[in-house]
Amino acid sequence: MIRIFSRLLLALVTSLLLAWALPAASQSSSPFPVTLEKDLAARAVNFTEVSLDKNMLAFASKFLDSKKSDDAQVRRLIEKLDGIYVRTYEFDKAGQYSEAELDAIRHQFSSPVWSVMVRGRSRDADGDTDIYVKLVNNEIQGMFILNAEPKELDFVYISGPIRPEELSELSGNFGVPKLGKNATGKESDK
Amino acid sequence: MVDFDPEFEQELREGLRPRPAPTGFSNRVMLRVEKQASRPPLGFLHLPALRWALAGILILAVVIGGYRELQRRLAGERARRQVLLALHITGSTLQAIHNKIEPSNGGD
Repeated sequence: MIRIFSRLLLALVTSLLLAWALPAASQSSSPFPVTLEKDLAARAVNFTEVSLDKNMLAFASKFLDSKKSDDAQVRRLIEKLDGIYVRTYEFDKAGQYSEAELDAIRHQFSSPVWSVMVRGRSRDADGDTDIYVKLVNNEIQGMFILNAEPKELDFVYISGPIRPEELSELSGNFGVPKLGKNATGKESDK
Repeated sequence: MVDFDPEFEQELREGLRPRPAPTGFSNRVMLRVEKQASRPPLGFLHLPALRWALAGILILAVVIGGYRELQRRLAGERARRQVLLALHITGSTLQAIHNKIEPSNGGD
């Protein structure tokens, strides 16, 4: 009798532990595609990390005022996205991250689903730039932007269907100067 | 055989003699009956303690509801600001990339 009871108790404890552990494990797996060095934030003098999944975007869109043109534009932009994930790190001096670290990040986009849209390598230490797009059935389903400057690292991952033209709409808004068309794959105005 | 005091017997007879009701007595009785019937029935709310308890629950529900709505609005405003910040950083990053690429394209 005692053995049966102890087995039942063990089964109950195990199932409770599993029920607690499984959601915790699924939450800890970040959708951000880059495994950033853990101490990158520790090395930075300033860093910003923004993670907005689909639920959070839907929640935020309820608080955007559709009567305001800026808010309406943002709502249009985010309503079909699955997430926006941003990481920016500012360093007090150059050399706080290595080229190998950047290569490790780029290596994560070597799978066939990701294509390079923009690749910029500077000879005058201006920094490197990469824009990768995730193509599924010839449609862009995600975009990863890497901007590396001597004292700054920026990563932006936009998950979900997005057109480059929509990103150009960001310029001229949110304190961003008006952008030329080149950065979104179109011909420059100049 | 028991002998009654004739005087006492006379008083008893006088006391038990039927008398007519005073004038208007039946009308007054009927009026009171109607008044009782028209009064609304007393429900369970006539208990003061219960009334206070219900009022307390109502106030508590309103306060909790208001607090939760305030929390929801604050969280929503925070999420909205995060979205704007994320888009601002995205736009700035694209602008920085554009500034790097633009001179080389201009030279082509």
